[in-house]
Amino acid sequence: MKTNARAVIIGGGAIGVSIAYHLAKYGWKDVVLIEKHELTSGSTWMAAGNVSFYHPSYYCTQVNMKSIEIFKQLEQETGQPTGWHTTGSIRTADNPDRMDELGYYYSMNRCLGLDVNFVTPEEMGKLHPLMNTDGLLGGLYWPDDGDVDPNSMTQAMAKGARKYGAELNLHTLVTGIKQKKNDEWVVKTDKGDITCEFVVNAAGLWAPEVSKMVGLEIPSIAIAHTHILYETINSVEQRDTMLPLVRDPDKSVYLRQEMDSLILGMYEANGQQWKKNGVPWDYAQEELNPDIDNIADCIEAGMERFPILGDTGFKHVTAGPITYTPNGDPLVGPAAPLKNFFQACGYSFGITQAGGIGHYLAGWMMNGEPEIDLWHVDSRRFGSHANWAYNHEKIADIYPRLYSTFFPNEFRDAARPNRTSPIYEYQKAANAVFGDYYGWECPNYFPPQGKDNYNLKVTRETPSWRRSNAFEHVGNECRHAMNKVGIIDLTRFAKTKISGSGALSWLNNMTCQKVPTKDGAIALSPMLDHNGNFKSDMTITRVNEEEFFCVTASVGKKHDQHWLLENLPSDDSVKMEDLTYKMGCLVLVGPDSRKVLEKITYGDVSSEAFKFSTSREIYVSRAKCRINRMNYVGELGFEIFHSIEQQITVYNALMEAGKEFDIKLIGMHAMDSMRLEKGYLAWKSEMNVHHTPLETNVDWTVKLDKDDFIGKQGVQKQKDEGIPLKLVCLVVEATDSDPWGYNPIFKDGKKIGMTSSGGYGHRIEKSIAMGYVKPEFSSAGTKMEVEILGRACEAQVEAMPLYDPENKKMKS
Amino acid sequence: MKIFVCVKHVPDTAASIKLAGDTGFDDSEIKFIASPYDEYGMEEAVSLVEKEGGEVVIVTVGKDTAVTTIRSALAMGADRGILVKTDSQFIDSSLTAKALKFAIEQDGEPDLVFTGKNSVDTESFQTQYRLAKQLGLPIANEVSSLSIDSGNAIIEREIGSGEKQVIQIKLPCVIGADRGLNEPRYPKFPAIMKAKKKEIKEIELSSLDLNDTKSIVTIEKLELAPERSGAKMIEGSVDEQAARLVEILKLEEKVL
Repeated sequence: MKTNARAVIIGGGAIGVSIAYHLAKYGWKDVVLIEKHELTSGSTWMAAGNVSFYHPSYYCTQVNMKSIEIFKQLEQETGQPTGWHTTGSIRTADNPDRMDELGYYYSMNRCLGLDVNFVTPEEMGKLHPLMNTDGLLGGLYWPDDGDVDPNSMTQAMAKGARKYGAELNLHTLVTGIKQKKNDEWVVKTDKGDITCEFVVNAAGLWAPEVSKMVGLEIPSIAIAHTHILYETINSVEQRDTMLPLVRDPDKSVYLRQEMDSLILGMYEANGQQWKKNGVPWDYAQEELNPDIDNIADCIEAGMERFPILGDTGFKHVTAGPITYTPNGDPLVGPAAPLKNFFQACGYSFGITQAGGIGHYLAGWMMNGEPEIDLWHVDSRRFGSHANWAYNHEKIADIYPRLYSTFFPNEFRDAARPNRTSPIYEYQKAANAVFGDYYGWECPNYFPPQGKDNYNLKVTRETPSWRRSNAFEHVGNECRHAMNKVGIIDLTRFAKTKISGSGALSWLNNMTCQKVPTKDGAIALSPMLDHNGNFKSDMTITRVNEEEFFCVTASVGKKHDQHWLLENLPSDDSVKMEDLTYKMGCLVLVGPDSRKVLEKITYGDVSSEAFKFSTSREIYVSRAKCRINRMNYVGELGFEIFHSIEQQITVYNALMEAGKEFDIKLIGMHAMDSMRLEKGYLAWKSEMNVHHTPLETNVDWTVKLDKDDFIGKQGVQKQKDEGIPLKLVCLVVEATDSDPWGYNPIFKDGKKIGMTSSGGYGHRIEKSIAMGYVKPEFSSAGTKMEVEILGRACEAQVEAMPLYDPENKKMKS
Repeated sequence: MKIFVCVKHVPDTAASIKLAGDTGFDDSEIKFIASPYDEYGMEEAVSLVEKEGGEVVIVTVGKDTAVTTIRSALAMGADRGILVKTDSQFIDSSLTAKALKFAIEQDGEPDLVFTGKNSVDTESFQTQYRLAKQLGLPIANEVSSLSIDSGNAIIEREIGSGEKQVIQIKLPCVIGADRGLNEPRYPKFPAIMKAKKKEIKEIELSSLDLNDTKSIVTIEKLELAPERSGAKMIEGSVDEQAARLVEILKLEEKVL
């Protein structure tokens, strides 16, 4: 076994082997994989092997596409059969909400140019003659989906990996991982140590144990997943073509052909967590005792859809452990706060993504940036709240709902609350309907008490792709912000203090913007990646020459702070302090906000003394606050940052002072609606790894005349060559369902772009989408079509922002 | 016909056995199955009764967890079950045979008794003979074909080198089922659900009127078979691979 390597991959399942294969194939020498038993002996051996394009996320769909591309050519490349069959697949719908969801997939898939079609129950019956289509409204059909033999596919990639020079060590157990002072890793095994530059945790069932070796707690627990292989079915045996995979999500089952028979798999109501406190190291490829009683409802549901199953014996019932995470999606990418330690675990659909994620993760490791935006599966999307106990509760909730309808506005109740603002009880008393964002309870909106069946106990938004029961109330909040005054709780903001003698020049290197030169000045300061694309959305407030107060999106906290940390100089000239949990933020917005503030501050908050886009330390009641005169909704407003323990003091003072102005609480939904009207960008919607600021309306933040900064070459190159896409604001003729993002944009039948986000603008009373289109279509007045839930809607480019284009209100 | 099928609850041959103490193993999590040869007996009994009428009774001696194996037999079409409960993981074939005999005789007079040709866990090859002796019935073991004709069983059994022995035995008798006797059916879901409602009578081994409930054979020590490691990858064309495989089997492993 090698003692030195570029990368050590821990785990010889489909994921780990694929990463080794791709790293070696793309040219890294000295790639070493260690596996404590045989390849595939964790979860891969028991996977059903379904491989489809389907995934709710646009970017994960691309991972699946890459997998299919790889699986199809793997046999030719390695000489090892993979058992790939192109069978096509169907996803059924038996209710209108599910049809809406399929509509979203249809449109999102069309952004990617996938072959996908709506099918009627009759057509589904023809595609799958064993299916009873009673009760179905329709479905989606992907003709290019298929299945692969998980073991053969893994062996093929192992063969390929060896061919390209990777070393695969079986029966080699990792016993410890240490990082040296020079950032090199030492992976200790029972066969000796390996010193390396990169470590990849692809340890599947044991990934939490491997993470513990480097001090991380990751949210992943195994559940005993069951699928049933039926005995030979004559009508299947006699077919000339393979039956398509069918997923009936409303019955929580999938069914695919296996040789001359069928496999039925299911996500039962009461998924049994397995070894939730840690999987023993000596477990390998052993079937678990299937619990037929626990899955009986799903088997019966399967028989309703496929009656022949009732008359066919169980050839084999396979139960085996598969890992799940709090939202069912894997944990991939750089592990914060470490350097050169990558996660590739938490997979419950590892076969589907094995090929693709191997390709993308290898690229990420080799190039420093991912080829596509993988935030959806990024391990850093879970904050420290996602500990074992949270995970345990959340996974119990997610497993039976892996097939439940995906909605853009749904926040599940399980494992909540976690983080709450000190004023949480006040928000509850004001009838808040909460969402959870990175573990924070944050009000989405405040329906009036007693109306529409709302009361203190039942406060729920109906999940829907259409305008929900929140619509009217959100509209009222937007109008309230426009006409009066309100408070938005943004305590969850990620807040980082950057200080030290080197802070100014270091920050100037971290952002494309000029870091403010005057104390109390604020600058929108995007951080870019090495290619010049958006890394993070940051606002820098200069406190003084050696102290800067940096605010970033709450959900990106771990991601953004990891980026800062990775780039922090080692000479102590720059210090970084996380203030997120020490400071709250209440945003006072609306034309009367100054009048409210005046009543309770010890300081001049007039427009002359306290100018727009500046920051001051001011006493609000008895609390010393840092107030930034800016906001995300485009009204006169003040972001009031305060010590967390004084939040109730500040809150009560504001509410008391605001009484005469009819002050009200305002939620996230209203904020999101208002930011769209103002053309403000959202992190990971408009700002992701595919776009530079030059393509957007914050191109003015790119200061190419400044000294070097991360991403400068990339933006310079794009400036020279011309932007490939341009962000536009579209007003869409939508009636009851707004463009949420990932809607294809067509002009004269040709795809010219895609929406990044959207919604309804209550102040301008229009449906709005933001999106990227080819520059020639970006001028105001250009007409086009935005496809929402499979239906084309007329749209027109409008100058940004739609609301208060001269920013008179904010600057008033 | 009244047919008894003796079924043993054994660890799945693919289960990874962990020893617990000197003479036992951890059976809390591993998968258990009906001993595969017993399944041929179950299938034969169920299809005989389907043809000729009567009932199939499953008899098992084992720990209370063995009830899952009886349920799986009931899902294949047997009518009811009897579990003779014991606390120990291993009881020898002598005691097992006595317990089976007692349970069978208590239930009624058998027309036929099936066992497997041996169990896949302890592989003693004895219980069926001892049971026949206890019941005072003739026995044929390793039976791969069976027909019933006017009170006689005509059986075939493999005797090596492809030779078959055909024997006629008077009913009632004990048949030790072997591969080839039939293709055991796979349980269908409705049958599995029905099986949950079928009767399983439980009898404590200690309550049986046996002279002695101790095993004659006791286990002194259990050891895991040494792990065989170092799988060899044979490279080359199919012909080369085959030739090399034969060479290894002959010269290195000496199994051919």
